[in-house]
Amino acid sequence: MATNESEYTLPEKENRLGPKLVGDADGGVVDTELFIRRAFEINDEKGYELLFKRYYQPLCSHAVRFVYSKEVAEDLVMEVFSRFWQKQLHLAITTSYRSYLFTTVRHAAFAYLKTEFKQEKNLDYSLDMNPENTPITPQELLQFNELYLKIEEIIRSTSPQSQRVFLMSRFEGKKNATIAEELHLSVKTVEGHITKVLSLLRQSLRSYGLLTMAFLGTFLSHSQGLFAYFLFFIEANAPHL
Amino acid sequence: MNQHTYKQAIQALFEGRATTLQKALIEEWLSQPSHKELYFQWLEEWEQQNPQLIVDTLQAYTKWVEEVNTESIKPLKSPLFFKQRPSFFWWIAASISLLLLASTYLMHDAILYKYHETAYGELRTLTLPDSSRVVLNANSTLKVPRFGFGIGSRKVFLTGEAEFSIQHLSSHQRFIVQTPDQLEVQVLGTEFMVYSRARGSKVVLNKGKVQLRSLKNQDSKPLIISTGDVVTISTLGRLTLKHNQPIAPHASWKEHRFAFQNTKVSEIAYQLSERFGIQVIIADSSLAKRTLGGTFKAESAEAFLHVMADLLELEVVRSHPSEDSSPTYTLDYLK
Repeated sequence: MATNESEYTLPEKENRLGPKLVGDADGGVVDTELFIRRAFEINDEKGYELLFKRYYQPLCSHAVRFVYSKEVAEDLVMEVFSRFWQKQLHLAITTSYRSYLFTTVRHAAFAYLKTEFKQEKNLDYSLDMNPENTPITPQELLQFNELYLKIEEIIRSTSPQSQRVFLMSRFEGKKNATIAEELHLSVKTVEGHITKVLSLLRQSLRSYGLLTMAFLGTFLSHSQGLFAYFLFFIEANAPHL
Repeated sequence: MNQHTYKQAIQALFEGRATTLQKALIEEWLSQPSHKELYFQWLEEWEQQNPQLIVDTLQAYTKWVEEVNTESIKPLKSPLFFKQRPSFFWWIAASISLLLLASTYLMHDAILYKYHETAYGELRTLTLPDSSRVVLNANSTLKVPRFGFGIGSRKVFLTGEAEFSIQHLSSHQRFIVQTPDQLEVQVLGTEFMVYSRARGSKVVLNKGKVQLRSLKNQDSKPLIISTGDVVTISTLGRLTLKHNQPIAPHASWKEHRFAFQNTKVSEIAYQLSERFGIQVIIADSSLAKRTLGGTFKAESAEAFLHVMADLLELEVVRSHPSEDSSPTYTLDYLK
């Protein structure tokens, strides 16, 4: 693998917009972003259109694993694209668009949770993160996987009815009364299901969070830990617990 | 472990199936920058294959473009994209466009028409795009459209004097000559002369038929004239038609000649000024009424004046009232 590297990695100057070819045991992966990059060379507008249409769906899919809300995930991804355009990053980034966008969406999702939990009015999703300035560590990459897996695991451990109600509330953004009507339940029962899931999330993440706080290391050191905020959020949203 | 193996391990990681040992291997593998790119490539693939939600990308894109356009989200540097407040560049572009537009308006005649102009004493033969031939007399201008000549109609504008030999096209397309005093001469294909200057207009038909019409009065019936007819139009728009006129006197200018038939000296003086741009002062009113006949060479005003002076026993005095003005000749009886 390492011996293949030199054959496929282009010189630094050529590599300005990320690797055009990456090492592959089968003899080289054609750069799938080449088309978008060519479009940017000809016309910015076309470039952004291709970029957006190519990555919007997978980015939303990834974001929703963290934020568990369709609306929030979409807003967040759009915001990432807006910042990308605002800063004309297609001219600046040195990695692939893909790796920049996924990394930024992850950070934005995390920052969203953070600010949501803190009930901050002034939202700053830390989208200024530039992978060039702050290289992503392998640890970080894995930690984000762990994070969404943990959230998924917690939610999956609840009863099917609780999951259903929770998803209708968080994911689809429905009001408790609407959910009650649709599922032929009382509003109180709906509240009970949501409370149950949130309670479980709080408990699970507290124990998990305590373990991961140190594990998340540098990334969380300045943000005081996602789970602390997550727990704060859960408590703030379910004060009656 | 080859790349394929890593891909499987990383997919296991995404799905939460990766073992602790696999994670340790992946972490080490990811220290290579190009491997991080692969990680994201596989992440994208995995998200494409296992979408957690279905979004309407097209609708989202439309919404996003609107947001970017309407909201205060502007590029912080190098504004290149979408609608923005008019920048300095656009102001300059707009100014240039305006300037172009203004000059186009002011010069639209020069852009739309090709001008054929002759100087005093100069004759010129032109061939139009439809192969029609025009002989332009001195001090005359023929305006021919640069675009669309021969599409719909063949229309030219004449100031001065010219002889037209118009080709009859297979499409029977009409050829139109318009003069500054709104006289319109329409033909299909024939030879004729048009004269149009300050004192009026004249049409002389060599052969065939032409149709005359004054555009000053839209209701006026077109006048159809035939071979040998001469029509003069006064500045007041009065038409005088004379049949069976000899053509030669009207065409003498083509050979740099004057043809006179009992022509008054005052008229000769006028024609000289028209053709050569000189001023002729006739010192005595009785002299102005004297007449002259014959065909004369008219290559220069001065040569002709000396011939005329000899014939009528006059003297010609040339003077220059000022530097810029045209030459002035004074005709007087011999003293």
